[in-house]
Amino acid sequence: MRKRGGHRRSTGVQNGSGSCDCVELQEWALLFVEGELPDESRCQLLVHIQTCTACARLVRTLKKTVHLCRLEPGTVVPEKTHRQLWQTIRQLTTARKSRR
Amino acid sequence: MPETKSLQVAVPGLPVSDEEMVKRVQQGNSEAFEELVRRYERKVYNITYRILGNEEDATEALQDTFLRAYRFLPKFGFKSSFYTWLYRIATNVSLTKLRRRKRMEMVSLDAPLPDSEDLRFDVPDTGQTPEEVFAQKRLREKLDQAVRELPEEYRAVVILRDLEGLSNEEVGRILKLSVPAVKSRLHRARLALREKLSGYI
Repeated sequence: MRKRGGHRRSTGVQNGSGSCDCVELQEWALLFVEGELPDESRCQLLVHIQTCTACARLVRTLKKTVHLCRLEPGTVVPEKTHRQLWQTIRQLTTARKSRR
Repeated sequence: MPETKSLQVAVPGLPVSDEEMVKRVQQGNSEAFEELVRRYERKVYNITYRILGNEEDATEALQDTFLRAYRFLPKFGFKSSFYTWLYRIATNVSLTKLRRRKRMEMVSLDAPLPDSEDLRFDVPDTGQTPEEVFAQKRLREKLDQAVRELPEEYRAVVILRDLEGLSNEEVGRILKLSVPAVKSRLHRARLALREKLSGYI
């Protein structure tokens, strides 16, 4: 994994603040969540997150964010909105029918 | 995703495809248009509500979307699926309204604050305890708020891709973006959402 400053390492090292300096990791984590990370990189990422808590957290919370979005059932159309819409639609379609 | 989109022909006893409904509308059948509204009312409302964040604007955008659809449906050329075309109208109508509102807000300092109690979520009965239902509702409210706080160019992508479940290609067609551009915006949007939800996930 490439670090800031040009080093290449197979595992990441956490800096003093507890975050990780791996510049490629964020991109890899995004591709991993999407299921688009190539096998070799995927293996490297999985090895890396065994030892880097910051990156493990990034991957876990990113997955959870996407999962949460996909589970979101959406809002119900409020009754008033539904009534207003159908009043408009009926006016449109009735006008067309009366022209026929 | 609409279940009927892959059906291309009308078979007695089976749901009629969107495309068949569009053809009927083009032949002057108004009931077919009403059926399309019934199929997509909730989906379109969710797009307008998520982009605009309040019921009043979302209602106007919902009406405007179907009015435009009705007006332009006679020219629909079947180059894309009906729902991709409809979602594009809904997204454009909502984004235009959002931009107009932002311009208005710049000159009006007394705009009302969004009221989180206005959020309505359809919580299915999953056998959860009241506490779990409450926690789930709270998380959804946070997600909704986080989506609303995203920059406009990220918001539409994440709504269509992650919340509405469309493919990168479909989102690209709706927003007139290349697939790499969709992915790039989606990545940035997901990172921003994760950051905003970091205290809750």
